Amino acid sequence: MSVAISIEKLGKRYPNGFEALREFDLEVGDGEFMVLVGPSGCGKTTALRMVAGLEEISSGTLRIEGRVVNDVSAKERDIAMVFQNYALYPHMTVAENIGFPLMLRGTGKAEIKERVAEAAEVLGLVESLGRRPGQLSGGQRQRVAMGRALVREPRVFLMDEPLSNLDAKLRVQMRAEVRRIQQRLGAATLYVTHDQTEAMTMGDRVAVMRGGNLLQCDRPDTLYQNPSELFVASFIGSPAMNLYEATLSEGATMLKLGSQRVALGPEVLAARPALAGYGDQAVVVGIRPEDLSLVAGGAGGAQPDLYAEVSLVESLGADLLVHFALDARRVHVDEGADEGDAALAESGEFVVAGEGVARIEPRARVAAGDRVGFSLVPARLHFFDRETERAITA
Amino acid sequence: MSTLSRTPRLLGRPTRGRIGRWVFNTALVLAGVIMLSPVAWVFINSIEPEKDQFVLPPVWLPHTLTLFSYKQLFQQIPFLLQLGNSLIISAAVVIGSTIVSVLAAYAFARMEFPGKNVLFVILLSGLMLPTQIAAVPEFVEVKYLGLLNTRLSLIIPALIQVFGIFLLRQHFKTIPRELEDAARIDGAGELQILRRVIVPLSWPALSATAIITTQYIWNDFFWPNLYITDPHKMVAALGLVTLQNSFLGGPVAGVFAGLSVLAIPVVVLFVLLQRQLMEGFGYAGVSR
Repeated sequence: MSVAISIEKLGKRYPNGFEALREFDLEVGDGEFMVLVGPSGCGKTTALRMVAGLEEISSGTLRIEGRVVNDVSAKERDIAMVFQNYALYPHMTVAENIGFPLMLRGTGKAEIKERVAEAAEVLGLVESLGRRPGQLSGGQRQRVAMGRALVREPRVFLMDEPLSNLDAKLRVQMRAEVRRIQQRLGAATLYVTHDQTEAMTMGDRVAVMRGGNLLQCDRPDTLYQNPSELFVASFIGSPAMNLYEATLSEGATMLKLGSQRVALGPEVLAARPALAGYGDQAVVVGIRPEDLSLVAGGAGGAQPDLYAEVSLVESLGADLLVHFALDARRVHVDEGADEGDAALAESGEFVVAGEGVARIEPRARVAAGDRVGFSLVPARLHFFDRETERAITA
Repeated sequence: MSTLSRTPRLLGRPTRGRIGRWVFNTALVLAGVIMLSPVAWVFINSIEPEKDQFVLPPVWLPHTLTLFSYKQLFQQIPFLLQLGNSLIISAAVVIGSTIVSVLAAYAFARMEFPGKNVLFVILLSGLMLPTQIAAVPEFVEVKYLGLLNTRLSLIIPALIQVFGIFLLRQHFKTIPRELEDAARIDGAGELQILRRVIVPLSWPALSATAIITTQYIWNDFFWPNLYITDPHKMVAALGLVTLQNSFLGGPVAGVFAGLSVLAIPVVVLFVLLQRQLMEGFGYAGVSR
């Protein structure tokens, strides 16, 4: 797979001194669907607009198909873009909107008509070609915006939260449709969203950003199973990973979680030798909601690893979400654009009440107020350094 | 209890509202009559025999109708030619100044360049100061350009219409920036963005500026009076004044006829484009 977009140490500093993007590195392969995800203000839209040529590059190098395009105008970069509010031209019909980029490139009338008809066919817009954007539904407008982008058969496709203005049901439907169209075109795609579900379901790879920095770029399942940063762990997954302050003891084979002790066993240390260096030190431990399962306890059966008090039970049909309270200190990860990395404990981001969520099988009998026991698989726990917020691995 | 005390108020309110509306409407009608009667007086005078003109109280219903005034008008001055001059000059200024205004307004609304705000304030001050202040320096300019007594002297300086630039800039600022970004990505340059996106979305504001400019240039007497002495190059508004002066300021039947003719194009234009005009002013103030 050759590289379609290569971003090297890209930086954006505004005249007022605000740094929106810092030393941003990313490579998007030919035909790859790359998602930039992060909370608002993390720099993802700035990065996208810089690739588009709508925002000047303060530092670093941007290459499209191997050519340095830092100083090439948007017009000459051969990219197509779908905007959050669609940015359809209100005075033009659907056909004129879709054909506009071709018209500007001096394509012949007959060919424009043919290619617009083709795009309309793909997008189910044939009936609407003569209408104006004001007469269309949100979903249709979204399709027109897609049509205007794909009619050019661009090398690079940029999308800035294109689904965020649609209602929930349509959004799910369009997710699949956008993927289908992108695969058909085979164009390298850079897709910006703040919605982690969208990122996980659509991206070949997902780049998680915060505060103008790229934290981790990986395949969705890798991001989910092996987050390399505390923020990635908390941002990816819904409901979010339960994160607690805990202490390792007994040569990192025992975990103190509030007043409770969880035996880790030797295999955890074997998989993460670096944990040995954290003996008797506070770390952040992460437990995915689905890694907790309810245990009846009592003689004969499996013994619970963790006891908790149920505060709320939500049924999703296929699963139950059990909200519970532990006496361990819950770690809240700041989404903000400001840098608060090493200052977790001081800034009061530790919340004393240890609320958590477990995703369990739907037929379990559990109600608010119950004291329940959970079992967990120690090997699936996540450990993070409190100071650096990085995952503790090998 | 509460029902009893409320009933009279319920009955009373519409009555009071109706009286208020009557008073208000009557006042409006009166104001309309006061404003329109001079115009009606001019028109009625233009079709009355000379002896009925200038009579006080005015003769509102003429006994005999005559086109004598119109005949006098066209005989004594080259009025048809002057109407033609007015038409050519107005058209040239409207087209030229609209192009200038669109370009300038786009720059002020969307482009970044050093001194932009200072320049805009200077431009706006042109709107606040009476135009007569510029009379002497502009006269000198026109003279040294060798344009005195030419129609160009009425066209070139009028190409910059500050109000038009201001109105269009306000309107352009309401057009979402995303549309320009989209056009840029689609492959449009600045002029194409202007032509294909900004201008088509600005017809109401453009019509408003065009009408205001037309009316101003068509009715203008001040600048033509300064620059033009040749009756064949005069505009109609100036021609009418020379007609009056040729009779040493005495009453002249032709003036009424001339004023009536002069008013027609502006009224017609206004009636035709009334809706756009209102929308245009609406656009200028309300961000959408």
